Amino acid sequence: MSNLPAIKQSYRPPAELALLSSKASVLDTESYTEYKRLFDEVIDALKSVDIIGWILAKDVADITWEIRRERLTKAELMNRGQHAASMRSRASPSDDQHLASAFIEWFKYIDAIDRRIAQLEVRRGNILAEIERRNDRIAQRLAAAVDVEDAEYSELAE
Amino acid sequence: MRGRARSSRNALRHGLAVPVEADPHVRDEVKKLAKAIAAAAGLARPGEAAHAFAEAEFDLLRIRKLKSTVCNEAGFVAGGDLDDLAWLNDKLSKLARYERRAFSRRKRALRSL
Repeated sequence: MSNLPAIKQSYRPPAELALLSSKASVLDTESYTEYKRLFDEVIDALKSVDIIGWILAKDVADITWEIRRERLTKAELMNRGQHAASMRSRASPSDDQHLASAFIEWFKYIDAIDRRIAQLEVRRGNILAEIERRNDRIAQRLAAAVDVEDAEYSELAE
Repeated sequence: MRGRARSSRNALRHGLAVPVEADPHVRDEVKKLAKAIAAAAGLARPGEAAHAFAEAEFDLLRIRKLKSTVCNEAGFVAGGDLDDLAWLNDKLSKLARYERRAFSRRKRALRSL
């Protein structure tokens, strides 16, 4: 359980979630505290009721974390490209020109990052849709259970 | 760089080609998780779908760990160079294929629960 993020309120992770270390998602250069904060926010928002819900919610947190990492890498790449372009240039083009030359030179790397971000966003959307479907099914099951109790109650009343 | 590429290639080849349950310790953990998944789905015993879900989940965990390992090795944001980034892109695209398959297996298992 030591690897699990601490949850702010009453949503406690099922014991089996400890089998899936959350530290695997955080790089040496990243802050586990920040990851924990994100994880808590996702759990608070999705209010998972069982282990399946928690696993899906953890995916949402992990994918969001990964998207953030890709965006930071892209920003770093743009900065470095811009810097490299300005260092190389004999004239003194504007910042926009630096940025454009960096983009052209480093395009294949930036493009790979953009494609990964797009794939991650699609995956996160699919998981959120799966969570919604599950929640609907759970709600239907609960509603059906309530109907049965009502029926039993009316039979007893007669 | 060459040594690193080789070690990572070996990790990919030996790490992901082998089923997660080849490791007896992981096999026990897959069983534990399958039991919990079955309970959450209202099943008395973990059937094929619960087991497939748990197995795919451990596969995803293994891929996530490998992804972190290659990102740590490349360390691009922390000051790596363009060679590191090219190497990282190559590794991440290979891992993405495994990850897609594992997500699909888990999704199919979840729908069958």
